Amino acid sequence: MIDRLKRALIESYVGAIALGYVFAQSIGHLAGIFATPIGGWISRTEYGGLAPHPSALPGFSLVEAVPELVRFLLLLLLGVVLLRWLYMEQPKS
Amino acid sequence: MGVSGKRATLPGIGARVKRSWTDILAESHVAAVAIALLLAWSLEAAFAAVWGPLSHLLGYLMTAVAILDVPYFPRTLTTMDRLELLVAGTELFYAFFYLAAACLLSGCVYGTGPIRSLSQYCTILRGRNHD
Repeated sequence: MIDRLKRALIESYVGAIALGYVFAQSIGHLAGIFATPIGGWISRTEYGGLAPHPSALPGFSLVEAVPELVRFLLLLLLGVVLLRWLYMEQPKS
Repeated sequence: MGVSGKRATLPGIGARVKRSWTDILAESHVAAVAIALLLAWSLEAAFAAVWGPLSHLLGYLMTAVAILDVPYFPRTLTTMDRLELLVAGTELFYAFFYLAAACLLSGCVYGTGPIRSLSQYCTILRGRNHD
């Protein structure tokens, strides 16, 4: 059953398209690791005055990059595991 | 990409041969899909980055044509203008990052630039379909 699914995923190119999408998404989240803290810092500097308590806003915070880092790592891990399963292990039949 | 020397089996061949990650990415079409997506997203982000300033410019020109005069143009940037610049800058960053990632992936897997590798890839696929 699993081998038939694997063969179907490989031969229909669905696996390749899905894996390509997963790897490209992970690269997008890698960009987000750098963009999110910088964007947050700039927007707080520019628009901090509009907030009710501007002094309570943090400055440059690397913690904002953590969600993007987690998404990047999880997608990369998923991509590597699926790549190994689909293309490095041959179906038994 | 640096992890090489994994033992793998070529599809359709029983013998186990040594293949690197880049070989697997190339032969499985995964790299080609990822490069195509990264290029498309890069173009989309670049378009989104220039769309805001371009629409302002077009609006200004259209107003100038409509009133046959020089429209009002504020000397300083408003809050909305700065927000738009921030969004455009972010989109531009993403566009460059996606393009750089596509170039890097294409260079590692195929040894050429992304456009050339995709066009060669299309030629190979077309040839395979005609056989």
